[in-house]
Amino acid sequence: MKPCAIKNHIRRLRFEAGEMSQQALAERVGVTRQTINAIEQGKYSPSLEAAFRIAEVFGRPITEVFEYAP
Amino acid sequence: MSHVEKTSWISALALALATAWYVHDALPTGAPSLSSMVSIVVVMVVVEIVANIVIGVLGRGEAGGGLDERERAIVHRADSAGFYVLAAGAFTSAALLNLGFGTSLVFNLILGSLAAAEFAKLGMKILGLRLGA
Repeated sequence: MKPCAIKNHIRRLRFEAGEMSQQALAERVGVTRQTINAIEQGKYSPSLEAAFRIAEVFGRPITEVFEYAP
Repeated sequence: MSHVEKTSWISALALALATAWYVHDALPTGAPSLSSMVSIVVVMVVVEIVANIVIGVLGRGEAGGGLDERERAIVHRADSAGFYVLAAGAFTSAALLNLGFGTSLVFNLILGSLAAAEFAKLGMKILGLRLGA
């Protein structure tokens, strides 16, 4: 399985947001906890909509949450 | 473990049980009796229903959530894998029938292809969900 070219800072942002759990973030974004875990580990690239929702939860621009690193 | 992974495991185990039962009944004569096949299907359906009810009740509301985007992608890939297995089995069965092989063998090959396709689908689903991709 080739690694994702998109890196993210979700884990750090979760901890900065009052140690938000993966489950709590998943519920707010509308995906499962396993999907959030897969995104954090770089095993899954979220859809554009899910990526924007995650950024909205943290109140940050999407470019601060995800970065393209080929 | 997500709800969809749990249901996949239940289906895989129920199908394994049904396959083993069928092989045990079909091995001596080449094909099981109609009553035996009906029993296999009924038991498999009951096992799946009961097991899914149990995990639904114990799952604390996970069951009603539907599939998210990652799970839909995994299920779609698994369905594709199952289709190719089924297609291979179907074409092989047709070829054997045309070559004059016995109907009992062809019948079992068709059923075996259905089971193999379902195992492939469930296996790909479980693997995809486990690996996180």
